[in-house]
Amino acid sequence: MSNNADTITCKYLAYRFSQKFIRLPLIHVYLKAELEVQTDALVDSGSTTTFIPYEIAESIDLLPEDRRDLPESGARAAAGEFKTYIVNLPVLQVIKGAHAFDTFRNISVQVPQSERVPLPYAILGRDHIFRHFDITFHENRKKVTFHRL
Amino acid sequence: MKSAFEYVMEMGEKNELGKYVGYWIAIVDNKVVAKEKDAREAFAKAKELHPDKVPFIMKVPTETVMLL
Repeated sequence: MSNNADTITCKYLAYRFSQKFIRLPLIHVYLKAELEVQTDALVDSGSTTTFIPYEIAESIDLLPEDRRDLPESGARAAAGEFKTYIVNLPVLQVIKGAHAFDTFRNISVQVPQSERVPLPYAILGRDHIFRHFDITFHENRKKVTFHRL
Repeated sequence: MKSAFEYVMEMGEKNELGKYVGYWIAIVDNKVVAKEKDAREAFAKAKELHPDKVPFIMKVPTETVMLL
């Protein structure tokens, strides 16, 4: 990861698995609700919304015990449609090295209503992060650049 | 000290990440402290071992294409 005050460039996460090389534009994020966690997130220009995996949301108590009054929505993925809750995430930070590069507070995110939706990482869609940064994918060089607006 | 994510990147470069594919792993102080099928279990185990730290939790994804 290379940085200056307003730009970070992140290499794709790359690893070998079963004779194949997997490369994904994942970045480091910090999430805080009642509890806090660090995790990875896919930068996805094809997603209109930011998603947090159900199990991560439960780990940090982002979802209340009583979910009857939570606003609901839905998402359409390649594997089909799934229902989501719309919740307020108190803090999402994009991490650069060991420090926060940018902080989003009280943002609306969606969480699948079931752990059966196999979301392996958070999805950073076009609703928040793409409005704070110019984001350029360098697919041939396996890097993604964030330039703060 | 490198961040947990930098540690994960390094694991990928050293071909040490593939063995965790399909699992949620928890990393604290640049060490894998949990490897579970459920993120909540990985998180709970990391907090049990290191209650004052903020664990890094991730699922090492398979090659499965996911589109939203």
